[in-house]
Amino acid sequence: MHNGLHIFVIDDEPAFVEPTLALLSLEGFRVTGALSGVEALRRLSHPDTGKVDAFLIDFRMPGLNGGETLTQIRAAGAHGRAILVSAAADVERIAKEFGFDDSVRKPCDLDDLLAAIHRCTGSRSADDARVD
Amino acid sequence: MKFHLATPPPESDAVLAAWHTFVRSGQISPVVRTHIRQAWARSRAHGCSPLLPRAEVLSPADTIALLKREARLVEIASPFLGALSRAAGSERHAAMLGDADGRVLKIVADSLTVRDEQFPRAGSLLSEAAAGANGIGTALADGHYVELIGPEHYIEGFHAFTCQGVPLYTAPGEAIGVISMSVRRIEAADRIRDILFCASEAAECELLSAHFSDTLMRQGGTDAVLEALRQDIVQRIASTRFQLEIAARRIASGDSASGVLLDAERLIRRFRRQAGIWRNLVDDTIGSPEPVAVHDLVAEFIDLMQTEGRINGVTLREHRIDPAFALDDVRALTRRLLTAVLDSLQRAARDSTLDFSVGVDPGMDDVVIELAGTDQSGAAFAFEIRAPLLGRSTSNPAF
Repeated sequence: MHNGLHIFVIDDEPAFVEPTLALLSLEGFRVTGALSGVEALRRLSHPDTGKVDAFLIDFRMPGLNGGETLTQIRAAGAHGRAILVSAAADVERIAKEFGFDDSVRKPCDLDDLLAAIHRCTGSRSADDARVD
Repeated sequence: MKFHLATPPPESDAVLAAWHTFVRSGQISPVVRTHIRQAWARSRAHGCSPLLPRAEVLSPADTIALLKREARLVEIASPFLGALSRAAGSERHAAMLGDADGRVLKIVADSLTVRDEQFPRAGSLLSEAAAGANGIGTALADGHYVELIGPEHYIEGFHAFTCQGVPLYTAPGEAIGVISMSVRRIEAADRIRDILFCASEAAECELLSAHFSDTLMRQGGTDAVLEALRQDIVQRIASTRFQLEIAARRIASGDSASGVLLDAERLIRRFRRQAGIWRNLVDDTIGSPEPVAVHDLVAEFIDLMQTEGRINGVTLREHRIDPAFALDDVRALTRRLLTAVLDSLQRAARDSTLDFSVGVDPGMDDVVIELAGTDQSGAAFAFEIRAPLLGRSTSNPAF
């Protein structure tokens, strides 16, 4: 489990956000989701949202793209670690260019996300009892 | 997906007796299900012995070389094997990936099965020629989903298992591998069947997606629009892994996963439709005229372009789409459509709508696609694409 770290998922694809939040929640994280950068900023400004430990942000989104979203998040005073989660072929380059702390290329699986969160926050990943 | 009709399996004792008769005399009892009879006959024709205790295994060096050659297939299929394994919960099980020749590439299993020296491992030969009827070899031989229960397996060493296999295709007729699931209890096999179908389809989509990346790399990766659309298509399936993960956890805990699997299936179908359009856009060869259901093409194209439209602040909308069939090179027509949409998006005002219409111009015997929008000055504009009409606008027998 992850001691209730707060993860904020920002992606314009509801079919991605919903299962991602569900799985992260099952892993013990506190989760928040938004379908655009603008919605994310609105939620961040709400006092109930609280401190965010890590943002998982898509890049190709209508309105604010992922880079612009991160810039606005920082401007709003949120300092959680930022992980770019994108299908872009050059996801690492984009992450570096826009100041993300880490990146994961879509399609990814839960372990990829957990590993990135772990790298950024120092949280423990769930043990995997499977043998392969 | 094509698979054998749900023929109820005969009593296991009757099949076991039939298997013993087959081993002694070569006669196959009609009590054995048809696809199994055919698989046994093929296995015997290959010269495979039913008394093998286990499958043959490649040498360590050959296994390493095989895994190196098939690294991409293994990488792409591995998350789905993991989901299948988690769906099995505490059951004895093995989720396996085989290559196109029935060689095992990877197994994700419970620890007891992994330690079972009789059980196949990476490098095991499970083609029907090598190991007789089994979940991997028979799925490849039949070209579709198969299920083998206990003594329906050809070699005695596999009689303890119920195995299901689904071949993986990225193009019709040529399997590139197979995903199979082996469990000890038939009840567990029943619970896992739907997620196995879904996982194999999702793996096929990801293989296609990887192929698209290769295609763009070969072309120098310079076409930003095609790369952006590729990302949108990948976005369609990026969530299927997570949905399968949720489904796996529900199945493992005895809950229903049908709703989640239906959502995943919908995304997979949407991916396949959009992938077909994307391939047409990338393929710049000149094709022959063929019947094209233009109304379907436009509807799917609008779906593919939705994100690009929203990024440009423009809503893409079906205005009036009448059934219309053209005789045209579908790739060229799709590229003309893309050019018109991109031109329209450049011209359209933010927060405006781009309306698509499809109809027939009977005077010219043309199918007409019209894109109508409003530019930054508030003036209306329209683009028109024409294709030769195949027939009349309704219920064309060619379709």
